[in-house]
Amino acid sequence: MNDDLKQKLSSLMDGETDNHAEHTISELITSESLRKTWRRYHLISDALNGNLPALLDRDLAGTIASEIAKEPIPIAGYRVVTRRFLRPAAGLAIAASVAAIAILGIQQNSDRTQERTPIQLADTQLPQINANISSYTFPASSNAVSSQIENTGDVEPNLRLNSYLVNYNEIRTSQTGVQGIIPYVRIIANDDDK
Amino acid sequence: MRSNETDQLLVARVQQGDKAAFDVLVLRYQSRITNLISRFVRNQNDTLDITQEAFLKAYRALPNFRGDSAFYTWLYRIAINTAKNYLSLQSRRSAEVEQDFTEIEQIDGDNVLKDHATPEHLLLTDEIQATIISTIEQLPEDLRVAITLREIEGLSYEEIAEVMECPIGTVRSRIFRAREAIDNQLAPLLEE
Repeated sequence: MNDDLKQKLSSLMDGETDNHAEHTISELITSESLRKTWRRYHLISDALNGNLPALLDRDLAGTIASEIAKEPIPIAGYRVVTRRFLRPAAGLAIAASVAAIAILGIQQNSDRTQERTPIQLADTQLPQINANISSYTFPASSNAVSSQIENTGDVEPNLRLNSYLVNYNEIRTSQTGVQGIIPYVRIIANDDDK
Repeated sequence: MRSNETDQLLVARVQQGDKAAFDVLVLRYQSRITNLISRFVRNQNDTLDITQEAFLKAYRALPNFRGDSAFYTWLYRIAINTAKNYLSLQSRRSAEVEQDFTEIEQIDGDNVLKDHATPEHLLLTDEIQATIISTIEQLPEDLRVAITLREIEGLSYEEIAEVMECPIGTVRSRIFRAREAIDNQLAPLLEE
């Protein structure tokens, strides 16, 4: 094991790694030898700070790792994702689906000689909102909707979907007086614009 | 960057599905947590079992960890609660079964813990402590000062550089060399 890597490990222990923390962690995770060195460095620290127990279990980490191997993978912020992201994302998908159905319904009642796509109809028949949304990538749940409107030529699929959903949501808001997904979408878009 | 930021990186990896990153956290804090729990629990075998349980609870609770506090603070609270739950359970059992210690030892609850009475798993830390202290005392002064300022005084590399009037890179190197010198004595003791 080279000294350069161990020195980085020493720095990582102190949180003084500058730009190579992630790389060092990757090395640490994959190298048993490096993990043993990591453990001993921390033993040194604990000894100097009076944090050593009377007895140490040599196999404690291994035993815990064996038990954790049986556990499901903890997904980061799952509840947070559900509250902040998945619900609006699901809402977007539902809203888009409903809007698509509504637009298609409108199309059936319109002049059938016009060969315009649903999104082009939405552009002309629904209020245009200058939402200043850049290319926001929607989650996979809305791909089913975007696939319906992907063959419309010049407009980027994400921008089309953005304006499509913005327009629908504005209509919904004006009808119900309830702001739904737009505040969240605007925040994301504004962040992209920065 | 400080050591709690190292923890944050590791926690983020675990939360993204990398279980091996949790092993790194266990190696980092196992002694401290064991020592903490040993202040609540007299029986050493129980201490190790409870330490295991605390880490398992922490792993299961990681999706709920949002970084509002330092990871170690959060882990510390879990460890204390685990120890308290153990003590609470023990006191209830003691009240129900007066002198039947055999029954108490056989009760495992819903833990998946192992018996750590096997001597080869256990290390007496007195010798480890003595070796470390002895090695530090024999270090060259610049290495001894650097490691002491870092480990005992808790100074950052930048602060140590100011104290020792040297570049941060030199501080980094001295601390590493000090650790390596101690590690060269420690590794044979741990048979590693």
